[in-house]
Amino acid sequence: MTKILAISEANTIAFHAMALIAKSKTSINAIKIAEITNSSRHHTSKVLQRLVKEGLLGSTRGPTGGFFLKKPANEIKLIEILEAIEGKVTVKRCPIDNPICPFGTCLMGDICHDISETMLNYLKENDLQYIVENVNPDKDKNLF
Amino acid sequence: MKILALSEANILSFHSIALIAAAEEKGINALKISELTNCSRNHLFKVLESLVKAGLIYSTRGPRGGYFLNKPADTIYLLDVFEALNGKVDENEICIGRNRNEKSFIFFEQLCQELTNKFLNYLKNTKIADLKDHAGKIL
Repeated sequence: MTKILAISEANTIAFHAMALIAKSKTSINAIKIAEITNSSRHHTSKVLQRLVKEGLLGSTRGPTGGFFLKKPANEIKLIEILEAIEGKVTVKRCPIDNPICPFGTCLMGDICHDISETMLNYLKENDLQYIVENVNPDKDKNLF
Repeated sequence: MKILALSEANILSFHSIALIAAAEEKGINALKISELTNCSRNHLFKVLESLVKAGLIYSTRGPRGGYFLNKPADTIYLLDVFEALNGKVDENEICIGRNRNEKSFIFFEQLCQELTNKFLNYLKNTKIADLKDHAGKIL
């Protein structure tokens, strides 16, 4: 499947999992998150481990165990979630980061830069709380 | 990490076809294109082969050989070039590379779709003829 934006399935799982954990009143485990997001358990667990390692989530063991946010949802910017999975996100003038462009100005104008900047600004400006409050109510009313 | 999922091959294909258009009936060879685009010849050959297969360009052999547009520059769009490498674009599926299902959340999917559409519109509306003059300056 052709994609224009480099948002991977792992990224999508991470955003959804964080929103679910932020919204859930009780502890929520990896199996439940995988079910709700319709992702594989294995992939979901890997993403959750990564979020724990990067300090965004904590986890408790046992039958009632699960994941919890390490800090309030309004203090977690979306960019932190993406960067926990992908590493530092950068926006360069050249879409392939060519150090020497013989064309002078970009052949494609500003389009690549503009799109990347818009996405990056959205992720920097909005926090997890905003996402939780703006989840489509028609689609999530049965989840909690 | 980068936000746009464009490959080096995609970018190379856009630059190459602009150069080929700018060279007009004189044609331009792969060596020259690889110098001007600052990329490896092996990679370039693969990209050019895809454009030949898609019927956008053709090549001639010999000392004066090179690559030429197969049709007028104002009838080829960047989307044709993009699809020559990536396959046909399905606008309903292109947003986030993941099957939608009833249980999935919608939050910044809308933004993803908007940005994807913005880029697709650029590809749909930009003719190779529009890039020709820019590429012509460095020939």
